[in-house]
Formats: sequence, C-alpha cells, structure tokens
Amino acid sequence: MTSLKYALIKRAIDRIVIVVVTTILLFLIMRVFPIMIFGEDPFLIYLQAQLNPGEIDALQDIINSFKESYGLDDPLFPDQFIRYMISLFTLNFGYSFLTRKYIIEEIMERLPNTLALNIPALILITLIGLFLGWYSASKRGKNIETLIMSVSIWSYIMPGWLLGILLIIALAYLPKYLWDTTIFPLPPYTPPRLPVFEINLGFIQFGIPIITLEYLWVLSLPIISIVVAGFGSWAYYIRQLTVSELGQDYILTAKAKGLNEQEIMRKHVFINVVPPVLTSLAFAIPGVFTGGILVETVFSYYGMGLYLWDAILQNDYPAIQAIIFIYAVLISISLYVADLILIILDPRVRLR
Amino acid sequence: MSFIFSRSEVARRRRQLIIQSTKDFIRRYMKRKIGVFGLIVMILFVGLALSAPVIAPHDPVSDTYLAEPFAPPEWYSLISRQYANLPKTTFYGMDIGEWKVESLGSLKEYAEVSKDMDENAFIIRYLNPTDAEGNFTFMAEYTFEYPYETLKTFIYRIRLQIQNFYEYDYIANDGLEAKLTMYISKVGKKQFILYDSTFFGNISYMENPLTIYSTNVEVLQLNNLTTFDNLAERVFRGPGRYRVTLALTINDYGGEPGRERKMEVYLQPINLEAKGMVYGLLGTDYLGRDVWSQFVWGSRVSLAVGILVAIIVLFIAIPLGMIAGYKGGVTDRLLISIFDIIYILPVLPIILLVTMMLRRPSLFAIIALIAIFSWTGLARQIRAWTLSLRERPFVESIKVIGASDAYIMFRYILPQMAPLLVYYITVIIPGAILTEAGISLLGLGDPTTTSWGMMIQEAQAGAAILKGAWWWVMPPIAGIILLCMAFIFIGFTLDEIVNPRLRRR
Repeated sequence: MTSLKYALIKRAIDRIVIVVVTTILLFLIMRVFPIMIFGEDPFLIYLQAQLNPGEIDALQDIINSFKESYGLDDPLFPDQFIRYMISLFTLNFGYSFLTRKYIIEEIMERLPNTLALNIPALILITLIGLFLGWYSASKRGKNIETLIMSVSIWSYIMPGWLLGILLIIALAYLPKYLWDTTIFPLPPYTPPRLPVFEINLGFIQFGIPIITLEYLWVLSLPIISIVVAGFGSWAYYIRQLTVSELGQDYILTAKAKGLNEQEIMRKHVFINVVPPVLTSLAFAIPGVFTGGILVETVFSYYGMGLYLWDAILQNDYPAIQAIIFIYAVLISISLYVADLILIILDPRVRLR
Repeated sequence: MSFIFSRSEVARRRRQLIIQSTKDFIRRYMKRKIGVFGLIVMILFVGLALSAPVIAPHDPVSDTYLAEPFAPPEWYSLISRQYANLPKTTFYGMDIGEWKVESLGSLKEYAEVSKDMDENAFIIRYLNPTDAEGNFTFMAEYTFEYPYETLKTFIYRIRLQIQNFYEYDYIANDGLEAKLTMYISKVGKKQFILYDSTFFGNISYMENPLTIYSTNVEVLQLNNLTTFDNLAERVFRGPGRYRVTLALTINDYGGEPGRERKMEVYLQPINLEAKGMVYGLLGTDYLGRDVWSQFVWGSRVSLAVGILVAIIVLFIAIPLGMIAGYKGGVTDRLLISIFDIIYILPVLPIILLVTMMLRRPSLFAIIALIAIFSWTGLARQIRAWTLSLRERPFVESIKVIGASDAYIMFRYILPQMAPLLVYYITVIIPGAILTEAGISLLGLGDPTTTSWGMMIQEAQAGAAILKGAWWWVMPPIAGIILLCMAFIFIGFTLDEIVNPRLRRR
C-alpha cells in the first residue's frame, strides 16, 4: 500500500500547488503589474472611483493616511504578499470596495441562483451526453448515429452565450413585439425570491424553499441554452472513447469467447469509459459554483458569473480575488476526489 | 532486379509517392459531405476577408451616418411593396453648368458674374466706383429629378466666401451688405428656406463648408416649424422635379465720394445629400454605419484571431510537448506541471482581468492572451505522441547513427505527427474565435476595429432587436457559427481520414 500512499500524497501536493500558483498569479496581475508596468497604483484607481477628479492631488495627506490604515504603504513583497496569502487561505475575503458589504455575504446572495441554474444544467448535460454518446456508439454505422453526431457537432460548436442571445431574440423579444405576448421573460433574468416553508421540530428549525412555477419559468431559457450548447461535446467525447475502446484487443477476445455485443458493451467497455468521464466531470463541477461569465451576462442573470464580471469591470479587487480563489480551491478538490475514485477503480493509475 | 536505386530514382519514386498519396487524400476528403461544406464555407470567408478593401469600402468604425440609422438593406425594396420606393442615399452633385443664373436689381451693370468650371463655383465681383445707391441680386436655380418617396433627412453643403472691401457702417449708414438666402422646393410648390443671413463684413466657409441639416432647429424655425416637424418630409413629397435656389442680394448704401465699393463673393455648391432609408447589402446600424462593411471587416478579425492563435500555439506547444515527451525525467515532470496549471486556471476571468488592466487592448494583445492560455491541451497531446514514437525502432536506429536529439525530434518525430496536428489546429481555431467573440461581446475588444462579437454587443446595446434590425444582429451570429462550423467540420473530416480507427465501419 505504500505506492498508494505515495500516489495520494503526490497528487495532493500537485493540487495544492495549483491553488498557490493561481493566487500568486492573481497577486501579480492585480497588485504588481499595474505598478511595475504602467506605473499606476491600483489603490488610486479605487480611490478615483470614489472621489472627484480634483481631489486626488489635494488630499495627499488623506491618501497617505488611508494607505497606512490599509497597510498599503508596506513593501509589496514580502509584507503585503504574505498578508494577502494568509488572508486568502484563512478564507478572510474582506469586504467589497463598492458595496462595503462582506464578500461572503455578496457571494451568499448570488450563489443560490447560480447553483439553481448550473446544477440542473450539469445533470442534464451529463445524462443527455452520456446517453447519446453511448447510444450512438452502440449503433455505429447506422443512420441514427450520423444524425446524433451531426447534432452533437452543432451543439459542440455553439457556445451557450451565443445560443442564449438567439433564444432571447426568438422566444422572448419576437413574440413580445410581433404579437405582444410573453412566452419567456425579457432580460434581466433575476430569479424571484422563493417562499420558504418553515419546519419547526422543536429542537431544530429550518426552512425549505419551495420551487415555484415562476422560478422554473425564469430559469428555463438559461438552462436550455446551457444544456443544448453543452451536451454535444460530451456526446462526441463519449462516443469517441467508446468506439476507440471497441477497437482494442480485449474486445476481440471477448467476441471470440462468444459474448454478444450488448454484454461486451455493458461489462467490458463501460468500465474503461468511466475514468475519463469522471475526470471531465471533475473539470466541470467547479463551474457550477462560479457560473459562466458570458452566459450570465447575456441573460443579465443575478449570479456569480455576473458578479465576477461586474467586479472585474469596476476594479473590485477583493471580489475578484475571492471568486477566482474559490474556483481554484474547488477545482483542486474536485480533481483530487476524481483521482481518489480513479485510484480505487483502476489499480494501474497507482503505478504511474 | 537490383534493390539499390540511384539517387535520382529515389527522388523520382519519393515524388511519385507524395503525388499519389496527396491524390488519394483529396479523393477521400471529397467523398465527405461535411468536409466539402466546411471547405467551401472557409474559402468563402477567406475570400471575403482578403477582398475586404474592395467589396467593403466604408470604414466599419468611423464612417457614420451613411444613411438613416437602422435603415434596412436595399434589396428590401425588391421584395416588399412597403419598401418599394424608399429613398436611397443620393448625392446631387450640382454641376455648375446646369444652374440657371439670373442677375436683377438696379446696380446690375456694376456686377460681373463668372462661372469657374474647374472649381465648380460662382464668382461674383461687384465694383461700384460711382455714388449710385441701390441693390443687386444674383439668383441661381438648380433643378434635379428625385425619384423616391418621402425623405426623412437631407443635407445641403456649400462653400462660400464673402470679401467685403467696404463694410457696412451703421453710423454713417454707408457701405455694402450681403444677404444670402437659399430655398428648396418642389417645382411649383411652396418654397422652404434653408438659409437666410445678412453679412456686413467678411465671412468664409471655405475649409469647413456650410452644412445645413434639415433637422437643424434654426432651419426649422426659419420655416415656422417646430422640432416635432420634419422639414425633409414636407419638402420631398414623392417623386418629381425639385429645385434649389440661391439668392445673393448686395445692398449698396452709397459711400464716401471717391472711394469705390467692392465685394467679391465665391459660391461653391457641393452637393445635396438625400439620406437613404434603405442602404447597402445589410442596412445600417444605430449610427448609420454600413453593416455589410462591419461584417466583412469582422470576418478579417475573426480569421486573423483564429489563424494567428493557431500559429502561436503551434510554436509554443510543439517544442515544449516534444521536449517533455522525448527527454522525460525531471524536465517532463516540470513541463507537465506547467501544462496542468495553465490548463486548470480559469481562463476567461484572467484574460478579462488582463485586458481590463491593459485599458485599451490592441487586437494583437488579445490574440497573444488567448494563445497563452490555449496551448496546453495540444502540448499534452504532443507529449503523449512523442512518448509512443520515441520507442519505435526507427528512432533507435537513427540514434545509433549518432543524430542529435533536436535532429531526431524535428526531422523524424515531427513529420510523423504532422497529420495528427492538422486536426488539433482546426479545433483550436474555432475555440480562439469564440473566445475573442466573447471578449468583444463584453465590450473589451480592440476599439479601432470591428469584430463580430463587438457587433453583437453594439446591437444589444443599441436596441437592435427592439427596432427589428435583424440585419444588424443576425449576420455576426451567423458568421461566428458558420466559420466555427467550417473549421470543426474540416477538422473532423481530416481526423476521420488520418485516424483510421475512428473511420465509420
């Protein structure tokens, strides 16, 4: 078992390195590069948004005292850098420059919306993609395979945001302005607040949000566009994997043994297709939490992606740091979990 | 039969082999419908991009107000009766030879009117050496045929210069004053005033011509209209003959004895522009810019992004991937972890962050950014191929001869991978195009050019959908989808040909 332990520790180090590198890169892009390359102080950018143009020069004393109180007059390295790393890794994200609320609060406000959008979307994408890929691989050479593959290729090319724009035009604006009927809502697609069903069990109290029809109605267009734009790559990938597995020698052996096609697919091919699919899933899961910038912008959806984009637009550094850091942590964790599962499923991986 | 061929024989056979395999490849490629479709679409767009200066003469960014904003395409008038006779953007050149000229007034013998055919201008010289008082009026009429329905806006441009050598003095009440009036009317209908002004001294509209917009408030006031009225609609009522009249009156109030009163007037009518309500192949956007030009120049940006990113990616990924695969050991470990980290980074937020930091990113900065974040997949693939290729006997036999590592990599391993690379290039290109479109959609594109993503963004911001301007929204969307589809189709077809395992059975 030492090899297993060794493999686990090595993977863990790899994943932690990813988080550390991402945070360092963020520090470089947001704090160091603006000063070193452009000679601009990011703090002044922040301040300029708050003050009148003339006041920047006039209030040099105030700026200095501000900087002192924020600790921005310390050298970038090591003082500020260490403080930055420590606060990120202790999950102390600070508060937003713009709204003066804690970043965690801002995120908590938007996270349910993003989850409500992306969890169903990811489940649907995976199921549809798996089914179509698997089905078309088992029907190779038939017309149905050609049909499924051409639809998948189309969906593979189409990005979600482009499809979103098309759907908004076709299903929201056109009915509204041609026949003055509303089929789907016009942007912004902000999900309504859900009524909460309170449960009081005496020793514990909690509320369950009740999903209303209106809620689903608002979510439907974004989910449709994400799913339709997303399943194609899965279907194509899984079909490719399955077909290439079918070309392996052990399939020939199984056929020689007299197993029928169905059994070969179920018993032999499936196990070999699972690991790459798991890895792809591990790559997709963090996106569920951080959302897509482009899709949420197109729909004006009140979620994490739009929040990140607003933060980037308005130089709201704490928010940017927090969201990208969370993304890096999540992707490391999910890749590590995928690795764990793979090591349990496939003993060969340990040896690598 | 000898198996040892002469050098020329080897060259001949090799050439023959290459020709044969190329022919075979083309034959197999042409059998696949989607491959042929992709190729045709790609050639179409490449042709569009290369011939952009010829087929799209308007600047996509700065040529504003070519026609009315949100003007539908010109071919609308062919298919719909509602649009049948809508005005197209027309410039009435006002050739000086076609003007009907008339001199009136009591002092007309002192004035000399000449036509400068080269400059297309009237030159009026007034010189009164006597002490006679009175006036002189110069009238010029230009009549033109206007074939369209009601117009929304017209613009009249004229250069003029008045040099008064004896300015009117309102204390002594002597000297010269010039009164310039311009009218426009349908022949036989009510006249509308375009310009009415009296000059006591010198005036020059030579460098910046006098430009009269029909929507100008002062022009409307001259005609007792409010800003809710449309002058052009009142003037241009259907097809017919229309007339522009220029009237220059020189009032002479006498002067000191012995001092001659002299005035030189230079009138150069430039044109009368009727703003089209239909325009070009794809209409106009919210600033009256030509959408067709934007589309064509946008195809240039998209293709440039796709191809340049692919080239940069190749230049980074091939050496690094091959070194990682060939050398192994610590080098491999290090490179692989670099690949991993860049692959896992959240690409779009970081690209957006850097473009925000750069303030006004040029297109090449965006291309470089996209390339930096999209080479790792290919590098990993190349590493895997190199790993399997370096164990082949032919590599070992070359090693025995004493070839250097670089020589083996680039001379023997790279050609083996070339067919596989083609597929990956055609997959990288649409990814890059879509990323660029996404960046421009968010409004961070290069502001000096127009790309398809920027067109979509402007169409959204400019309420194209509310105005029903599908000709503005749909072309960029269709362009992005078609171009990406073309590249993906080509890639898949090539993959099926060179990667026989996946060939349909």
